[in-house]
Amino acid sequence: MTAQTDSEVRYEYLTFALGDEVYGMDIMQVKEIRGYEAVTRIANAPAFIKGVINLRGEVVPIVDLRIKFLNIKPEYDEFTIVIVVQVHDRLVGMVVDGVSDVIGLTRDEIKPSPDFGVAFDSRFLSGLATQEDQMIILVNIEALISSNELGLIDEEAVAIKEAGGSQ
Amino acid sequence: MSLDLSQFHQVFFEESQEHLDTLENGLMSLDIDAPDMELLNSIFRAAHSIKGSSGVFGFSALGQITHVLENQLDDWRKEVCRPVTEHIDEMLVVVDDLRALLASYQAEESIDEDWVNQRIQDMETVFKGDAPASKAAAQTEDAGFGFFEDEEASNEDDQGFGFFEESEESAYSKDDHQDDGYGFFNEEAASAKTEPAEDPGFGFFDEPEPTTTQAAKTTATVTPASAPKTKAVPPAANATASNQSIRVNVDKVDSLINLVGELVITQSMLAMMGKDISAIRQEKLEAVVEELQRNTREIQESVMSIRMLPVSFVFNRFPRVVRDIATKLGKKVELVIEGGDTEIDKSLVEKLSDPLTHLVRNSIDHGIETPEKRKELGKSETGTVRLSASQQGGNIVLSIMDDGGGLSRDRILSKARERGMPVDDNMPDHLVWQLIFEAGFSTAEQVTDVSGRGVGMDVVKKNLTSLGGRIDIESVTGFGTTLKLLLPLTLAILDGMAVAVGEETYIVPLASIVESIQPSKHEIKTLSGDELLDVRGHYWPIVRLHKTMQVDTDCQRLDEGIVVLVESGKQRFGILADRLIGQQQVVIKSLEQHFKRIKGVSGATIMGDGHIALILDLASMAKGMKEIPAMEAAS
Repeated sequence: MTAQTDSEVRYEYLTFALGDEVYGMDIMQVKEIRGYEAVTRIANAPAFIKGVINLRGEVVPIVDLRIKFLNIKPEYDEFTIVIVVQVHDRLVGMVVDGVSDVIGLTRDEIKPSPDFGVAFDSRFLSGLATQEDQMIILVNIEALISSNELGLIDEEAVAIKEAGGSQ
Repeated sequence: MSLDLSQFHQVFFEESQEHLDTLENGLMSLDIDAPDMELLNSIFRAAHSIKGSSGVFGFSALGQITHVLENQLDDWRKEVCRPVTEHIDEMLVVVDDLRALLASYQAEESIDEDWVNQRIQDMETVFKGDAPASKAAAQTEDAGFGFFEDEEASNEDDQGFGFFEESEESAYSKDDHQDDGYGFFNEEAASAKTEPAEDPGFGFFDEPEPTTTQAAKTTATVTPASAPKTKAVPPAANATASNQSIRVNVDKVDSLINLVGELVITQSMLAMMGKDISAIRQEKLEAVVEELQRNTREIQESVMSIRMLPVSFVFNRFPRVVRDIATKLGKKVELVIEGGDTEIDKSLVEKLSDPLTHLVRNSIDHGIETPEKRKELGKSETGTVRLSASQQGGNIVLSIMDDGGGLSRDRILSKARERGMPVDDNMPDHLVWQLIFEAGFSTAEQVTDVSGRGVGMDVVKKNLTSLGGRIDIESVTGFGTTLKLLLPLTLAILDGMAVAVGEETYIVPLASIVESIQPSKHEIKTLSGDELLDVRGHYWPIVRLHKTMQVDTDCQRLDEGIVVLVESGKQRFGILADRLIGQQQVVIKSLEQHFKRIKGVSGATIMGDGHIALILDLASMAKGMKEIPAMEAAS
């Protein structure tokens, strides 16, 4: 076995576009990438929760990150992309503008994230990286999904979690 | 390199549980007058397996205790001595201890060695005693059991011997000692402690001596002078229906069920698409699709059946429960079990055990009278509790019937008044009986540790309701009480009516539907702005599904759509939808798995075209509604 120091380990990220910005997420949390299909609407849900779809027998919610973070009224066509992510046992589909690439980053290449300037709240960011002059914002999907930011889980569950946490 | 055994622990725990169940059931159904060799052997094998594998895993306390148990069983099996009630009682206690130990090992708690040693000593004292002769004599006096008296020859044993020699593996039959019963007994028990490592087979004997011919003489047991009557001897359950089975993780089964569900949906999509193909091809395609449909349906049915277990999984523990409770309360109870092979969903099996135990306990404590009282009343001294299961349509009916005193209407009513509940003397019986499910309601004259604290019936009812079931009571004073539990066959499937609203589909649980009507204008009335539907003299408030679910639809007016009249709890209301799609069985999927609970929705299901339909939660829809007083229309 070749000795690899921690700084040489490459972590793989899936990059995706949202507006003018490029984001990256841990590829291990991506279950699949699929086209947007008709959803079943959910009453009294915020606009960015499009509804639920049938993913091989699982009832999976679809969140449009474009509505949530860019505040636009997007179009849906056959090129609309959904990234299905898996965090623990939960599946969530996220609509984004497009999926670009898979990149490998070493720990040294990941810089701390800024506190401002991007669509995502800094709570949900895990760092910044630069590849070919393009800034990539790394998203902490787990934090995003388990917060009540997206309204995906019962509020009591969030409250319990936060009460038990460091806050 | 040492093999990591921990990966096998779970299997060991599960298997040991099963062996303990076998042990317990076997002991319960053992007829001490004429022990069934087959049964004794299976009890022995269960104990032996536990001991063997606990040795492998290093669960020594488990092994040590089981070892003593096994020795005694081996003596019975070899007819060195006969089973007596005291020993069976002790063994049942040991089974409980073993369960506790198993749980401790499973939870990786430390084991109290002193306790284990003490237990082993206790057991040995009970099973053997230092002076068996005097003990045997004492037993003879106490209970009239004439065991251990080797002077007398057993007449019954003769028929056992032929069987003995045939059925025993040769290793056993050569193992018999020449000693008489006592010598063997002492020696054997003494060796129990000093013999931790035995050969894995059947080596319970220090010096096995090949004396097959002696076998007949060594087993010097005696038929009791008078047939002993045990207090609560339930009829033996199915003796040995050895079903071949394999152990499969439930997750695997569930994922199989899901996949097959998907297959069914894909299949129906294919069938739909097949309709758009040119005429010549279409006929052929249709035939193939039909074939596919048959096959997928069959696969689905057989996969669904994997999850089903016979009710006997729940029932089998009751002989023991009944025996324990009856003994504790000094009552004589016979338990009759019927319909144990009725199949129910595995998840129900697990959740039914506690409520049923509670109800059976209640039947014995509150229902069955004491032997003296029963005699006075001209009933047989032994009360009967009948536990039965049957399938009726889409429901499983479990009933617990006792021939005791029945519920006391007066006592329930006075108790209810005491607690300030709104009751009156003219209430119909079935409403009075339902009062016992109120929290903190107990009419037992004496609070015992078995029941009477009034904690439980309400919990029982709550548990059953959460399983989608209900409970009915029939009771006749002086003749007994019957509790009927109605449960859905499976938790995974619901009979529903699919209704369309705009482009969406919703499922209304069929059980709650009273009827569906297309209202005409003159049936629609308004009461302070709210529309009410007059159906044959009753006014029904209306829930517009497109409004609650925020769906766009052209069908806005009551007389344009269809109203499904439903009843949920005490609330009755009508649900306005565009049209009915049809009645169907749907597979319930949880929304909470990946999403969260949504008001007015109890779950989701996947329709034939692959789309998701939401299942309406009528109870929560009803909650948001104004109470409409029950009014009779003037006309």
